[in-house]
Amino acid sequence: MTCRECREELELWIGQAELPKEIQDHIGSCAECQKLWDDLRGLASSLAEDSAFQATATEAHLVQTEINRRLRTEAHTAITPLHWLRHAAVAASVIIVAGIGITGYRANWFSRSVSTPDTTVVAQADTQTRNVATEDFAEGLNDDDLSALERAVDSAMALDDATVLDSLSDEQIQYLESHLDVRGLI
Amino acid sequence: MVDKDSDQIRRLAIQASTGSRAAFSELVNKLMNRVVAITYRMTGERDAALDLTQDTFVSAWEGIKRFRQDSKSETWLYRIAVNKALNFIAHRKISDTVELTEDHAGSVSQSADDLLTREELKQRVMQFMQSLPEQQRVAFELRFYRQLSFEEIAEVAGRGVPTVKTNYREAIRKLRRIAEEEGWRS
Repeated sequence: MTCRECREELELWIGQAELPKEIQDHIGSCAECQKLWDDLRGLASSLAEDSAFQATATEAHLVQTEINRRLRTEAHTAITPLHWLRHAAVAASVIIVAGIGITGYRANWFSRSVSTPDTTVVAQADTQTRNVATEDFAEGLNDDDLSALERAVDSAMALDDATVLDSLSDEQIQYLESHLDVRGLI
Repeated sequence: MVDKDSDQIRRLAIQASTGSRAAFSELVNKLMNRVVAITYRMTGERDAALDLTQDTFVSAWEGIKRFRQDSKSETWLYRIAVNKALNFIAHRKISDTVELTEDHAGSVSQSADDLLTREELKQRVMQFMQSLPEQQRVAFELRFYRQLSFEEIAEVAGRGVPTVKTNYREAIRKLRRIAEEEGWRS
């Protein structure tokens, strides 16, 4: 092992309890590399694990209590509050965006000129779709569906209303239509 | 000593994976401080670290039935903790200029000749950690403080071993530069 190789290796072993034998053998016969290793060990000791980075007894108790509470809570619910909020937020976004998008799309489908969203129809769609229980909606989605919808919403948000559904596949449109109670409007 | 501890943790993890809440609780007690330290140094925020510690253990419980007994239980838990911390950092949209939170904010200017107090060293450790790019931070935390092998870190970080080694080496070089420039002492 050359000094250069040794120096490169030593950097990878700073903070470790033991050196590989090959490195030990080298620094045992090389004062310069031994000095480097001593310097690195000094630096390591100045950064040694410290209780300041651990939980105090009170914090540990609180964390443990909260973990137990959450585990008890989650044992009785099919969906955690955090998941529910996430799903509900996505569901609400999808409902509103799809309401706008489907309305605009259908208007164009029948060759009606709609350059801007018809706010009356959108409001109707929004009101009607708010009646859809978001929890039921969210629970009906698996992770793949949820991801696909999130992507669709992200895409739709970046587009004007007339092209919203053009960004969605037929399957996505069918999926939205089958999950949203807006078909009465179209 | 370490091996004995590791064996005990492994036994507890296996018991917990069969549904033993008592074993899981003991596991939490044994590993909490390690998780707090990881998330604290990764995020630089104590309150966030405590929250992420809770989240880590709740996720661990949810996934413990899928725990692979051929992998080290600590490594499996560290992976969860690191991912939680990285998600937190991503959402916080940390800027290149590190803003320290209250519990470790303060002046750290001092001449190189002055000996550093323990508290000041802690502040500098936090500054150093927060100044590292995320993957270097992961590598440094898991190698330096948790004594993981590069193979284990690669598993946790989802990166190749050479990449992990490069990240660690870069972190160490930066550490040496800072320590030299600012006169760190052990």
